[in-house]
Amino acid sequence: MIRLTPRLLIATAGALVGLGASSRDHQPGGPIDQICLAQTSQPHHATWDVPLIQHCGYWAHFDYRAEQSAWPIPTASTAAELATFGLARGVIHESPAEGDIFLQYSPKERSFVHAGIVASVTGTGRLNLQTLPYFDVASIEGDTDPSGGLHGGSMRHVVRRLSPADGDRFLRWSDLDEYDHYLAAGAAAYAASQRRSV
Amino acid sequence: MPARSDPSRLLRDMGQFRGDAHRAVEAAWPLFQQGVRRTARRLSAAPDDQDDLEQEAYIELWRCDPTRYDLTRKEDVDYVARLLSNRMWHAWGEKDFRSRAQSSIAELSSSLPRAGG
Repeated sequence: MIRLTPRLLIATAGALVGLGASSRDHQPGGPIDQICLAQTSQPHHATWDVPLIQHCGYWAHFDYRAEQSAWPIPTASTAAELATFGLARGVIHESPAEGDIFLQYSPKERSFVHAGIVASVTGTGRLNLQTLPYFDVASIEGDTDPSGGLHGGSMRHVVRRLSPADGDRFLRWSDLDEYDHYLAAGAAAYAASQRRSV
Repeated sequence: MPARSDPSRLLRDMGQFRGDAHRAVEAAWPLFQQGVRRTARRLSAAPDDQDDLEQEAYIELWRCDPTRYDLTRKEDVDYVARLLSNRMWHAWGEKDFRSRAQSSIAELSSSLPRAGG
């Protein structure tokens, strides 16, 4: 079992930047279609920012000996579903850390509409005497455009400003690491087998 | 970008643009520019006031962050247009109130008896 490591997710996602730039990537049977099919059981989901995060997280934490992934997030195909999962597990935060999944809020939809991976937090500050700060983050995102717009169709590095005052939140999936429990369970099983053999 | 004034320069001077936000605002601005000008003309006949109101709308567009909206959808464009229009009306109300308050104060002080008079 692999320990949950934000760096692994960032590196895996970073290697896929540029995906979607070619129209062939979007064709039935193309890479985006395959990712959506694997992660949501639906071909080319309406928006593929979250399926792409799921794909990167799953394979970044795949243990080829155990033939399973330590990625802790179950099937979720939208940012709102990620938020629901994060709230239930108590891992939604108001400030970012490297590797977090950011959840961008839309006041019109009154919901989270986009998600991406925080590769680095580049700055922070406060606007107009707001009590909550903003954060400038360098992110890796799927289904966006050069300006960070929704449904932009490609995977890119984006620098954007996010703020809990605007409703944005950060899902710290690395808090869900069960590696220590896994080691403890393994040690207990080993100790029990030793006692039996004595 | 508005012809007479350049609100994006104002934001750059304020150091408020970060990363790719300016691209989103500049890409979205043409969608709203005509409507903003119409509203500005409706609110004031003075070109300086119209410029100020356009700048208010541009700053509001930056503040609301167009990347949160799908501007290929009419309902999202309408929503953002309403935000800009509300901001302009609010700014005009404040300005109008301030100028009326100033003229009232001037009127009042001129009607007061002068010291030692």
